Amino acid sequence: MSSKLPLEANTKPKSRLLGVVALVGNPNTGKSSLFNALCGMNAKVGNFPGVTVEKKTGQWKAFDGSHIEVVDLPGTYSLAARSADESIAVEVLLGKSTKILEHGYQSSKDAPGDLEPQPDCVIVVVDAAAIERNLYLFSQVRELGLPTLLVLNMWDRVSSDSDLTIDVPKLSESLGVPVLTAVASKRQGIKEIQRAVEEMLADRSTGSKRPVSPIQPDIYPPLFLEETQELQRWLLARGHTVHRFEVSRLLIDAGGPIESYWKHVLNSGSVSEQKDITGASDAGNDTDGLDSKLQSIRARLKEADLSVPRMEPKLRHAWIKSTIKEAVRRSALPVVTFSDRIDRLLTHQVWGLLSLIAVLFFVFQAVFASIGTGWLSEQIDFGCETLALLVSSTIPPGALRSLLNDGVIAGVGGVLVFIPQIAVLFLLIAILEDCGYMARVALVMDRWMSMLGLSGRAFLPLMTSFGCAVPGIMSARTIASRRDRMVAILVAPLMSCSARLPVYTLMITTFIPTISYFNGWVSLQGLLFLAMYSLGAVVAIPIAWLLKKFAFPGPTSPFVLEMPSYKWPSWRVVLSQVWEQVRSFAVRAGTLIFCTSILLWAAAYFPSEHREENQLVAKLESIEARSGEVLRPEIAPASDVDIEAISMRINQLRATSIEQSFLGRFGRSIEPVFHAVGWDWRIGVGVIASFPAREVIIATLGTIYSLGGDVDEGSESLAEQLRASKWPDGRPVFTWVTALSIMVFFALCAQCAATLVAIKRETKTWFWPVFTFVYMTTLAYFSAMLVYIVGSQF
Amino acid sequence: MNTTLDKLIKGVIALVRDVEGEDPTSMRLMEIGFIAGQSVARTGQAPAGDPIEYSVGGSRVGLRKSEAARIIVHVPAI
Repeated sequence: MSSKLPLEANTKPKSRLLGVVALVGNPNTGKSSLFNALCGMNAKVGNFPGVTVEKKTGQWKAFDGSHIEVVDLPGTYSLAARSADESIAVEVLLGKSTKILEHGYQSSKDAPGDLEPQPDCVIVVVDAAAIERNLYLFSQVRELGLPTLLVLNMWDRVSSDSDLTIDVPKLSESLGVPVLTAVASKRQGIKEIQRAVEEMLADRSTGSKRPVSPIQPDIYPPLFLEETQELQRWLLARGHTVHRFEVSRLLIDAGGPIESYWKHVLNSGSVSEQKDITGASDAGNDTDGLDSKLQSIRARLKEADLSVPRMEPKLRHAWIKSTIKEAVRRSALPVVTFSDRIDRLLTHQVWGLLSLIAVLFFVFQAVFASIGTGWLSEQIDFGCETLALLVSSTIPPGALRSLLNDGVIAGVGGVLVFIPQIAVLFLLIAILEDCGYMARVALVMDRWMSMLGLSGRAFLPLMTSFGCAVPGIMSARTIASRRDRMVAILVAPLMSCSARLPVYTLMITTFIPTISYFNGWVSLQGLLFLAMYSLGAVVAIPIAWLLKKFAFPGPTSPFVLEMPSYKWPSWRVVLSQVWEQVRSFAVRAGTLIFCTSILLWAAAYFPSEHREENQLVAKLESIEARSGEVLRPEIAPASDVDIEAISMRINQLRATSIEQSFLGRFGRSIEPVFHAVGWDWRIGVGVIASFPAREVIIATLGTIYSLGGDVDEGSESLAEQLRASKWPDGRPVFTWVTALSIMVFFALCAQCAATLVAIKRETKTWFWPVFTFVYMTTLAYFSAMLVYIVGSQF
Repeated sequence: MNTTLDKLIKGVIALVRDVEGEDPTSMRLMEIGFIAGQSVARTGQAPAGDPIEYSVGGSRVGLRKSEAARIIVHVPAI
């Protein structure tokens, strides 16, 4: 999603802002559930400025009518700023702008770079059943010195679990912060969390009677604290007041984004100045100073057996262990949980694979079943038809009516019809994700994905790309290794997205005979659907291998993935994800495809002469109106003949006018290019017009074959018109070979501006989208040619 | 007896001794709980035999054999 997308106009209360609370936690702690429970469904989703880390904000109303704003930070295990997600969390918690990332990750130009205010308090969400590991992040957050609330989420799992007992009051006492329990997916404990946050914020504004959890320097040994203070003073002497937490991160995360940020700041002398990475070689004294300062401090720490970064996890885990030993009791022996028993089945050598195949099969079935048959599809279709009729009855025939009906309504409506499939696909993906199965999919698939040089984590982005490559490419952020991520992003557009479906549907149902085998269990059409769907994925295998070999060489990246316990998916989380995806698709359809439709309509409408056509249409409509009003059966036969003659003439005029339009002229001028793959200029024009968004092809073909077939010959379907179209020598244009060649082209071609824009956003350069476009289009063209040449032999 | 985690067989509870290396992967392993003194057991594996799923500190973590080989564990004598 682009941050430029018009976000939903939220009904923002004009009430007083009581404060901003940041929500942090490990992945799989039910943080999204808690966010939804706290703020309801009206979250605003955007990006943190300059980076592609998703930023979710929401709010709730406090008892006194004021409101509290919630910023949901990316799920992270640690505040050691190694990845983009972690850096964002550190930045927001320190109340900085995106300056660290602007330096470390080369922000895009459109980053507004506005200063994010530091949150007034922090909620740390933990999975109560894995409290020890989760407190690692808490131990880092508490060093920020902000009022902090610890929420033990998924509490139902602990209270029913006999081998883990947590004494909440004791825990609160030893950690020095309020501790609350919650089951966010069932909305238990939410009111209490809101009250606690409101109290913390009220305390803060009334001059604080409660201690604001001061920095308790009992994690790091005195030597480290002295060195931190030393470095802090050193930075202060150079005019920079730096939070002690940031100083400690600067010291520990050797070579990380914070270090390169500070080197840059001290080098350029200004935070806001344009960065120059190559300028590091003639660095000023201060940069050298920081380098040698850090090196000497790290050397001294190493002598004292505190070498960074290894000392941090050791010290933190030791602190956690000693702090919670009174409050948390866990039986020494790891127990086999219910979740483990499910796992035995779902990761089993035979059953694991079979269940994965069954799940994928079910997903595809459900998506196919929702094609154009659902209630919503019919409603959208009906709405478009009604709208077109309304336009026809109020606006006289001419350019404006044609623009509205053939450009606007046909273009956008034709895309909105696909919303049901996208909703179904994302519903299933969201359910699989939320119940914990997706992590197992990554585990099960890792071995095979690693043969392509990818990790099992790439499976989810690639599978998502079967719905739409845009969220697929965005979800590739979860892949930690940059090289893996790049390869996944670059092959994701090859996966057969839902926008290719209409092309397959039209071609297969129109030109492939309905032959079935095995008593009707397997049909030729179904097999071809499967083949077209698999084609992109199969082609992706050698492409990924080549990319890994030549563009991103290096050793295989690690696979460290937490397997969350299985749970019932929370319908609120699932629905809000489905809503997000559907909305972003609809917005895309509403903007990009809208513009394409208008441009395309203009190219197909001008500069041809439309006067006679418009006069005939007006005549036709007046005849129809008359015959509708005056039901005189003796006149009807004569009208029918008239209507038929006029309709035929209109169609002839339309066919000529499109041939003489800009689009038609262009298509004819490069016709030999299309001949090589077995297409006539009309198909070629349709394909060219659908480069910005491939779903446009259906509307374009409709336009080209009968510009605005809504008048009376609407009964003649697009499929029939395609079947009827002929080469000048009388051979039919469309055979099963042509259909196959078109489908192969669409399967492999990068006909989607939104995908290319998403690649640009994720890779921060135009090189990779251009690369993707060129390699995919070349691949598609020559594959289509091969299909045509081989197919013509039969 | 000391060995590496990838060689740990099912049904045996071992104690983590150390994690080799200080690159981001090793640091992540330590952050999510592979820390000296923590007990660890093998709970499952992918159909292809790799990656392997381990139980550590109340959570389940999938690791490739190559990552598990960074973790040195102590297996108590039976």
